[in-house]
Amino acid sequence: MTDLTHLYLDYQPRLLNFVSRFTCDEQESLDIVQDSFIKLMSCYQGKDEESVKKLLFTIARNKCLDYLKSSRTVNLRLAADQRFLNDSERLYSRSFSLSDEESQVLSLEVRDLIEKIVSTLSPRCREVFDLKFVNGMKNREIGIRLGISESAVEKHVRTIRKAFDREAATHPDLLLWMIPFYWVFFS
Amino acid sequence: MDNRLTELSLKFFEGKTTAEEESLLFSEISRSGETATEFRLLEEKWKTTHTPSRKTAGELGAFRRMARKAERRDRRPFLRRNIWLAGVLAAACVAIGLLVFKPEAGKEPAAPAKAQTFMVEAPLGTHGKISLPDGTSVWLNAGSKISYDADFNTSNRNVSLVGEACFDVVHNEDLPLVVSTSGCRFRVLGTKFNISAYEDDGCVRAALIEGSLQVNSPVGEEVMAKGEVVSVSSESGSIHKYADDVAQYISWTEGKIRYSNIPVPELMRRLSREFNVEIVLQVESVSSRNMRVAFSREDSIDDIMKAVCEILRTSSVKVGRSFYIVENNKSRKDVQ
Repeated sequence: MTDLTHLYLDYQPRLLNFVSRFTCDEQESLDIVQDSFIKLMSCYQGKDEESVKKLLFTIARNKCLDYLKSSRTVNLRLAADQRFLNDSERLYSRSFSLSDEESQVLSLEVRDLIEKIVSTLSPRCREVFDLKFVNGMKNREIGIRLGISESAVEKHVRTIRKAFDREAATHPDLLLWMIPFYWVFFS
Repeated sequence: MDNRLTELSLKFFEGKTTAEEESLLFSEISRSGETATEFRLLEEKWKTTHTPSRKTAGELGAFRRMARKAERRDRRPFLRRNIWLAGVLAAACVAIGLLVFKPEAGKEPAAPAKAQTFMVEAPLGTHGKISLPDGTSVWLNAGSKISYDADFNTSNRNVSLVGEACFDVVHNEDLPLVVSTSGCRFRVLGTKFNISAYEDDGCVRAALIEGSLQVNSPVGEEVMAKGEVVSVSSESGSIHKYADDVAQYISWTEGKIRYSNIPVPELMRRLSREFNVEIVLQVESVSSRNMRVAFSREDSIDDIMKAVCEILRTSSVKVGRSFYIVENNKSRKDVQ
């Protein structure tokens, strides 16, 4: 396991940073990273470092993808980061020896999820969203640009925030299912 | 590459950059091949010089524990599925008290790892049976112990033995099982054999039930075939190989003490370990004799001693947990 120890110490910090970019949850990210290394354990032997780290990154990225798909939610922090995500993911891909064609998997998924949520917003809200989260403008600048007051912009931002929160709450099926079990097991 | 970019790169390796900084770094690197090369060189240098943070070291420790757990889980699917059975077995083991398990679990080191050693011991008067991480079964005779490192079955299958043990080894072409004992090494791929290496016997004796076994002593080497016995002298390291009824050497795993031709002093040593008593042989003339015996663990040591003495035409005197074997017609007074 000495091989993995080195790999762990060299790559775990940045892998953790990468994963937490998409989960926006520290504990969840650590779980994903640890699971990835555990999975790597069963298949790393006899491979050189280049392909092992490629494998590691692919495993972690697929786990992130599963996480995003199953939670079907996008944290607003992620939305705020989205204009950097593409480049950021390509940087990570490169540092784990993946070619450019293999990168941009998660950022595209995030974009799709965001688009789905944004499509439910009113046209004005969508405008505010684009200016704030895609172009990265300040509330005051947006107000001037759209000819509305700063507090009106804040109101739109609150609506956007609610829309993102709602998306997270529209899939409670799993939780509802769990309640009887929860009751059986823990009462 | 200017200072700011170097700093940003280091921050990236340490997993401390924000998405915005990463985006900036990416555009700088992809702008010129020269910067990309410098970035790669910087990474190689960082890898050899950086010290991991406490947080990362702690997480590595947690990962190692998880990895060990996962390995054990994968290796024993049956017990995993029947966790209650495992519990019952564990409880039974403790209750019977046949086995003293001493995992010498050291503290988890930050980095790099130092191998842990596990030791299993069957104290005098008891037997033990364990499964090694690779599924190999080991019976431990009274007063024996074996130990192996935490990396057993990942990078090696080395165990060291003091005393007597019977191995039923799971076949694995890639990792031969190596038993080290009093200067001898036994190397196998998968087979069943018994090794007796009690220090007071003055020799290591191995009996091969199935498969093949390679023996290395400090002065020689020998390959054993099924049904053969080797005895390696602890003093000279010389190896003596002969064919024998090998089943007798593993009869102890079934709770019997059966030997077709055992020297009296060795029999006494075996009995004393088996029943955790002291046996003192005070009659010179019987030391050179051999005996054919068949006892059960269920028999009492008193009965066994009586029978043995009858055959040897001697008497035995019991004082506490000690038996003195003396000439006929000597009384307790003469002993003390």
